[in-house]
Amino acid sequence: MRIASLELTKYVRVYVIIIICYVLLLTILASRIEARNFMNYGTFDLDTFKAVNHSFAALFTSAIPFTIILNICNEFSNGYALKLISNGLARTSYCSFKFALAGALSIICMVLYAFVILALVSIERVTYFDWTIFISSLIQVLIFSMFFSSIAVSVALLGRSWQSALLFYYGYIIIEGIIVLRFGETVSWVKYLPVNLATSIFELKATPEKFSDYLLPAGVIIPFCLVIVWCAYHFFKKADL
Amino acid sequence: MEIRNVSKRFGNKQVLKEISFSLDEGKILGLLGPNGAGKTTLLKIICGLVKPSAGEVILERVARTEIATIFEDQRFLGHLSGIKNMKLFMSSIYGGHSSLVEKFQEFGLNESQNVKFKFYSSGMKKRVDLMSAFVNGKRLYLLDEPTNALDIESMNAFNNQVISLKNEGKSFVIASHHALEMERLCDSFLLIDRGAIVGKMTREELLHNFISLESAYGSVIHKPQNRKNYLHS
Repeated sequence: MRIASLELTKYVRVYVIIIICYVLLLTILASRIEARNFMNYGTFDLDTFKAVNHSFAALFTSAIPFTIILNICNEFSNGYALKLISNGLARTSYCSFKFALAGALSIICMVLYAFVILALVSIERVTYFDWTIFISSLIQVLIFSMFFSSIAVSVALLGRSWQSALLFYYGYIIIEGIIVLRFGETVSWVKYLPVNLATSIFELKATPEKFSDYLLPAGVIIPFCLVIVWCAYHFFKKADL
Repeated sequence: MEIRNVSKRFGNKQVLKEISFSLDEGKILGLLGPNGAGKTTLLKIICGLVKPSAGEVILERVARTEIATIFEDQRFLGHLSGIKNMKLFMSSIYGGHSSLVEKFQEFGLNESQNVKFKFYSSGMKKRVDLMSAFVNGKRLYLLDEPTNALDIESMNAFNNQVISLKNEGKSFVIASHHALEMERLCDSFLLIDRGAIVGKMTREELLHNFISLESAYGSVIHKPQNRKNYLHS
């Protein structure tokens, strides 16, 4: 908790708030154009759920990783991270601090999600509300936000310059997106690509129904994340800073 | 502390070539050399920021957490105040912090402790750097250009602080271009040029052979034929 609050003190800056609000508003606007009933006619239904989840997917796949990458790379470019490490902070501790930040942001994201859904439910006319979807989405916000934030932290620790880290992170997401767009209908394994899998589950496009349906996504997403985190730890420990 | 045959190569560029020396407790070693000679890289290797390509750094009875460093290219966070920065720094490294208000007074920064770090002058930034190095008792101090941008009063305070810590048995490696200050503080000198040691001398040897550190520097760095005479200390 102490580490997370320290990291949040450094993380919260004006540009971070602006980027997060900008991405959220942009996604909400896009959702309103796409699903006309979202926050439009004062009705809460399954489409509203999907639209809110779509906005939060943009938040934890794009906005938060973007700010995490900028935040960490800024600490390297002005030498603050090096100051901490050269004055006795272990490199592994520095990595752990950043993963603690990722965890804290995921929890904040989850709380924000619960707040938005409950606020909409309380102010709009509810025609559909499924507690199972709500609870599972809440858990998914936490897990997927952790997943994307951890990857962003890893990429930032590996690249240590915002140009290379952003290129790597968004490059991968864009390439995966292109593959899904091009081959999504014809090739079956494409739907198991980690980023696409996580967002499609969260946006209620591919809803797991029984326990075994969760095993395959977990089997893809968790190892993918662990490999990247392990690589970041390993290379950061040995890198010339 | 002992440095054994440390070499460092960045790509094709050989930055350090088989550097060896040792430093006893309570001693101050001065590193001198032209820009790009490899002084900062050497200090970064000692504190573990940069890994040597060959050779080793042996730190006897000195844990990594007992090393304090100051480097020119390492700054605090500009969007936070001086005191907030120090609190975060202390909490990150030591897990907590004592009252820092007295420290800010001691370093002449009590009026600007709540000002954002980016608005500090170069001298004030340097004073915060020095505070971060001296705030907790360390055993080894690696200081790269510690007095750049300091006014005369702060420079004198720095010198007094170094001498007092030295008397407590703390060791220092200082890289600086301020020959007069180095001459006053250091017990021994290491002259580096193009990544290699070109001269090693104690203060006694310096005073015996030269009129000042500046003349020793000129004689060894600019006249390679003299170097073999000053490599044996």
